[in-house]
Amino acid sequence: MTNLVALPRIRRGTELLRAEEHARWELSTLKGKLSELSAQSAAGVSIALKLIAEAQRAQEPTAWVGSTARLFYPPDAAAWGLDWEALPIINLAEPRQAARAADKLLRSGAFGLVIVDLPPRSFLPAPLMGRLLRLAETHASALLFLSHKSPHEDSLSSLIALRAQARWIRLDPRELQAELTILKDKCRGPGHRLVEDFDGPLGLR
Amino acid sequence: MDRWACVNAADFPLQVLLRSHPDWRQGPAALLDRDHPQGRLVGLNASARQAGLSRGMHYGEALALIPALRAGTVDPDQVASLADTLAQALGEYSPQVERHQELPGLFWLNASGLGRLYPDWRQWAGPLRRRIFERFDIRVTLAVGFRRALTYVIARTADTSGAFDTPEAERRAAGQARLTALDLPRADRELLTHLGLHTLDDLLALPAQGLHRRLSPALVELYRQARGDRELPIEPFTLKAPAQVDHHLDYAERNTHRLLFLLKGHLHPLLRSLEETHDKLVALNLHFELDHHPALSERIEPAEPTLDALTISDLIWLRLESLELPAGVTHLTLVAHGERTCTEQLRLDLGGAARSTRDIEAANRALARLRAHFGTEVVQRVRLRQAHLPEGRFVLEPLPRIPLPSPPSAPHPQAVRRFYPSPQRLRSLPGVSTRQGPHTICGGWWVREIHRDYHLMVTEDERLIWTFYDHRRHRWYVHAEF
Repeated sequence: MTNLVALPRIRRGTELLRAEEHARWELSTLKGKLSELSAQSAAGVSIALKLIAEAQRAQEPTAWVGSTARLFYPPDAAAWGLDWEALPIINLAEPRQAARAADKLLRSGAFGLVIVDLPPRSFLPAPLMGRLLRLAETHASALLFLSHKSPHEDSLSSLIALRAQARWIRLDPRELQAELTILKDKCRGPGHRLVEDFDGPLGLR
Repeated sequence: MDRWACVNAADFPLQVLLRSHPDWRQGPAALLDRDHPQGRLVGLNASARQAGLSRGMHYGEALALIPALRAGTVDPDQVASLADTLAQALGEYSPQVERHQELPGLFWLNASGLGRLYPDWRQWAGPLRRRIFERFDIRVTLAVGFRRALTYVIARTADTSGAFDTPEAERRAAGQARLTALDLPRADRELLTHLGLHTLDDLLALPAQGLHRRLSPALVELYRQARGDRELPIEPFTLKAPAQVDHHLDYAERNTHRLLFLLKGHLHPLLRSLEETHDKLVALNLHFELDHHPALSERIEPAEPTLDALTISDLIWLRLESLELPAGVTHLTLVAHGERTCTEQLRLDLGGAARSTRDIEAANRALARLRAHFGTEVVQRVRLRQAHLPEGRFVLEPLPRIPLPSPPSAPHPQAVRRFYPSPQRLRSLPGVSTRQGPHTICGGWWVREIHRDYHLMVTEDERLIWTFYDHRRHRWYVHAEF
């Protein structure tokens, strides 16, 4: 009897799945989920801005919810070619208020990506997270929490489907390299690593 | 024959500025076009002019000459608002008042009937000037004549008030007016000087034929009006009063549900009154007078002008929900601000470029709900600008509406710092493995001197921080980190 797997052009089903084995950190992966990007530095900010640029290119309205006392530096983000007119900054420092604002934004069904920039040691109640998850699923929107924590700390909630830890692995001010370690992925499993390259700020290149 | 009075508040924006700073009147003071050392002087008081300053000078240059100079800017809305108030006050003297469209301190009064009440113009013009000065702290001059254009020319070029008994006397006085003192564009003033036309008489001596080929439209318009070829009809000033409802409560009400129903009861009549004038609601001001406590004022702004009571009620409820009333409400006032309705053309889908699947109007409604719940200042946008200091290179300003995103250019992958507008003080410098800098920023001597040495530091615990050493305070600060 001929072994099917031995035939040319025939591959095992598990090999077909391998291409989708690891999550890519992009908007399509984050849609319909609650995700968390944690870091002990500000590496997550650059990665979040990249997602905003991607969403805006796809004509998806986006919003940034967080305190303006620790905002990203807009002159740096200008290089991402963002449409500032279409990027509302919701200035709310308190985590629960920020999450409630995200609730209102997601409920409209009009936002493709909402980023909630949380201060260190934030806590969000489970019922609120449950509501946010249901809204993200219903409207196919991505809700990304930026948090300040080490990889050994727990994620914000059990409802977080995808969590990555960002850190700089190359800190040359002219060329920076960030590494994303997937700590939690309910679809594909954790452990995968991604690397993103960034240029340093203008004036130093 | 009609009688016209032209009321002129010379250097009106400067007068508005000096109202806010009465102590500046004693010394040299100037109005700036922007609050910056490179900003230009656009208005000067007598002391500043006597000290040798002139319009168009840079603020830094003027300050180097006269260190005692006081200067500032005024909000154009503040100027326009005071001009409206003045026009309203002038309405107490004449039923027909016109406010100049471009010059906020210039008004015309139809004084035709006043001659029957007052035999001499001084009997009403003098008290009018005094009353405006007492009520608004604004000095005005009047020119009473027979033609609007000529009273304008005289009022703008003369320093004193006056009246003319005959049209000929008015025509003679206006003919002597210097054209360079009128509100003409710089190119026109230069052209007139080049042509040797110094007074209105010189201009009116030109033949009318072919004038439009040689002079600008503004000069041709002045020529026609001064000759009397074209007397414009008056455009009476009317200030649209917002629709308002007051409700006095016999008891102090603290229950927000009951307050909502009270407010809803007044909402429909307010919206109907706006509808009758073809307006839609753009903002609703709620004023609550509290029992033995200071009053509270709230403002509701829908995402777009609307007459939908349900949308407004929803926003009122969100506002009330987050309101903590320290005492019961004894009196409430609703003021509805409307805007002329414009008919929106429906979008025609011709199957061209791919359209977003998201409803941007729903996004704007969500932002209006956030403003209603958390306050109007919560929703902001970034505006980049050129500035010397890092914190000045962007401002956050209120965002009324968002469009569908249309990113202007291809992205460039650049690392973005987390920025602290209030720099974080470092008790001591951390261990540093790599350092770049210093990049020195200094300046601001005209307000508050700044001297900072910026460094990019890679610390031993693998953080890339953007720090500066403040030479004035002799301290290190973190301004941003990667």
